[in-house]
Amino acid sequence: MGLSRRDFLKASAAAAAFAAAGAAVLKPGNADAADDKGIKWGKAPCRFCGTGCGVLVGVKNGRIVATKGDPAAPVNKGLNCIKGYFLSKVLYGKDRLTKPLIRKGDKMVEASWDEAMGLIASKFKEAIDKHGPDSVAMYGSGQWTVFEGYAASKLFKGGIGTNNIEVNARLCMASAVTGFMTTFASDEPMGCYDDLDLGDTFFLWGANMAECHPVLFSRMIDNRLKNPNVRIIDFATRHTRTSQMADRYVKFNPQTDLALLNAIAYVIIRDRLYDEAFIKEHVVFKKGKENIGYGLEDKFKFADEPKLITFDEYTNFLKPYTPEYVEKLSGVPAQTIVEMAHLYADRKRKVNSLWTMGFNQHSRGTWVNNLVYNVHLLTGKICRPGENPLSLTGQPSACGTTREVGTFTHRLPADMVVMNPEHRAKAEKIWGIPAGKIPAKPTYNATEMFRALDRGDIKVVWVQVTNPFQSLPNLNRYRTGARKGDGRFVIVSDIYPTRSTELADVILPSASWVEKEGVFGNAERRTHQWFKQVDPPGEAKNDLWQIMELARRLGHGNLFPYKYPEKEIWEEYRKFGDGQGKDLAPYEAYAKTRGLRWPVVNGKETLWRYVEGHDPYVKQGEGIKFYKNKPDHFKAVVWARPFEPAAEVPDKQYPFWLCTGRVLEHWHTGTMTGRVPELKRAYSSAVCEMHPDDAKRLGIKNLQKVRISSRRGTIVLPVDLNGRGKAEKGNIFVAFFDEGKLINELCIDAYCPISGEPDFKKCAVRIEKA
Amino acid sequence: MTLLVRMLAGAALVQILMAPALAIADDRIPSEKEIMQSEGMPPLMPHAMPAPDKNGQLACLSCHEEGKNGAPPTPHPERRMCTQCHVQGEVKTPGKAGK
Repeated sequence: MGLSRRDFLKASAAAAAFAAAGAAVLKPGNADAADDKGIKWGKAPCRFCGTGCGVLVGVKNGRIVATKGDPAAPVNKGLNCIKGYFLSKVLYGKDRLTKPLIRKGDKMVEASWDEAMGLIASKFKEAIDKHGPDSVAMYGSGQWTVFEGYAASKLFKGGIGTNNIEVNARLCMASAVTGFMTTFASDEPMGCYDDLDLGDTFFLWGANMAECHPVLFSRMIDNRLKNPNVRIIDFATRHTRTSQMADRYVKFNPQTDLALLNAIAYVIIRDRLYDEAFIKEHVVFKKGKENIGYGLEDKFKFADEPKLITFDEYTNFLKPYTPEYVEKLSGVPAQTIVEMAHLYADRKRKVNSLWTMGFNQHSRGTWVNNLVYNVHLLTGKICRPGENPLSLTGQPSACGTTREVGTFTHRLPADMVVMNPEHRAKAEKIWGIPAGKIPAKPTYNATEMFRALDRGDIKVVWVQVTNPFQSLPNLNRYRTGARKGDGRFVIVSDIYPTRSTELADVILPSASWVEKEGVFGNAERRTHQWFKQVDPPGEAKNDLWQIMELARRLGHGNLFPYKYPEKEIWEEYRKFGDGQGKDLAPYEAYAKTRGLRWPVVNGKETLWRYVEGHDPYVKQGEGIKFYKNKPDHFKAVVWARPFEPAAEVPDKQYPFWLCTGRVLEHWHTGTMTGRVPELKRAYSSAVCEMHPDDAKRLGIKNLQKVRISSRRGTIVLPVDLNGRGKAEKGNIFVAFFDEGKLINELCIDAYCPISGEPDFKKCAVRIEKA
Repeated sequence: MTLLVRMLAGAALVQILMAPALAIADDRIPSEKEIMQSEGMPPLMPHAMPAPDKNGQLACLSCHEEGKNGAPPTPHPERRMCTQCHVQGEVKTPGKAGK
């Protein structure tokens, strides 16, 4: 054929377009039959990140023997990332938990389920009798299935009668949620992953997508391959693999994202680049409180006071945020700020913004989420195919479970809140419980919950599918708090020994992923279902069973009268969202498909919300309608939010910024990926990314050990001056997956007063030779 | 007409060659053929993972793009972020990376 590699590349791009047009259909087959190697294949979403790739799982002799990217999955079209390609190994680590374990002194002793659940129930009863229902708590996860989250919420809010249920998603997506709620009065994106294929301009903000949402990044890169007009701009505080692949890397000083977004808005207004008609029809302007604090004191409380302002007042508010002023603050040249503003506003471009933890794990996380929406609202670049702000979700079901089911202290399903008597009444009706059962007052966000455990206001906490005693900020306080005794009782359900199981009074061996039936919901509102394909090992049981078993023993078994719990829970749960713009399809629809994006109305999924022709809730002629924001006449809110400094900034004593985060090969606290030899080899232990000039100044050579200390903790790590990520001067970066290197001991537990989400990206440290 | 036929044939040929990467996105249970064609574990590197250069760039494609020094050529040259899918397995060959 004589096709050179370069020609092949070009031709493949053409063929990609051809394939997407929907040519040749293969004959549907029977997935129940085993293939010629005797492997039976089924579908599931990946166990890991919020991308929600489709995976084919191959089972033989009751064991997962292989996985593949699912070619029929629209999210990833057959591609996985390296973590996904090792899914067949993650559940088979040698030290899988297989029996309940009860602490007896220093030892964990094997017990029967009856003994373990009996003990747990007695501890719950004792605490509730002595100290009231708010002395017990549940800490769950964005890796919970929908069924697990729903059952936990129903038991705690509807049975025990406490709002003490929180999740690790408070640590990752809470600011995105409050951003959505304050701007649009409805959670979750208006766009979807199709925007990655259809757009031509992508602003990434503090998001290392190449490592943390690799398949979505691939989708973007594929787009650029076909369309040389595509531009990817990486706004970041450190140089990463994402920066390498981007068209432009714009480095900025930590926390100055607030100022930069305001400066961009300033230029858009100054240079008359805003969409006046769009603003008139679809936008209101508001201002809230300033100097709102940092959540550092126990029981910190904050309530915003929104006030409507005019466009002119908003313009006036932006006056200080000139490119020249923000250059001084952020380190981004004024010329670049103007250039970026013009790029955002370019009428010929379909602009998208993408972000994850850089914006969310931020002491002003809600504000910065508001500010990125501002730019899209001022330019009218929103609710159009290929042109949307897209909040990327970290966990596989932070959306599907924690946000949609509402497993937070203040929440109920379908965006409802316990503070609203109508919402409580609706939940009480669907749950068949007496009126007034659900408490009206939220109790604690995640950080406050573990502070309460430390103080002894909470006595019993049950942790499922997450590892707080490695992942909480200011970790030392909470690790110590868990073991203070005096009636405290910690239960941890997990699949492997972790830094949390080691502090538990009872450890429950749990089923994971395809060892149980499940539903996850990903970042683009796609709800994915899967069936059980293998048995969990030993005596491990799924978390749903565990919750229902506790309910039964506490006298709340009547809340779970199910014969086929997963399906019946689904059908009950979906009553909440019906007709609310959160519509979910009947259970069978998800079993048949590679997921559906809600709202699903009359069997049809919704790709773009709030816009006529795509969202069934927007009638013909209505154009764009933010129909969940009735108080503001179905308009979205542009918020005047100022720059405010981080909770803790570098000073003479602690002169460096510490940022923490993830790397490609490891998921979160590395309990699963750390047990796959190839993944562990690829990135075996935590290192300290540092700028070579800083190292030279401190007299440190590459790979030499340093001691890093904050006001809260200290750690010894080798420096990495030439890794995949390159720290900027005055900054260091450490990944948090390493169970032997608890970097979170150094982190500060300051949080966004509106969202309650801690800032894992900014605190002050000093560095010296170890 | 002939041009159109040639174009379609060319595109179809390339599509068939690239089937695993470009399978049609469709909501139904995959056929046995699709299962067989879909990508499983990407090959592990039988050589030590090379260190990045001082710009953090990996040198994989210097051998694997065209297939130099005995390295197998990549079937998907449009994918430039190698370590997104490929990790090191057991070291069996020195590989250029061992230099």
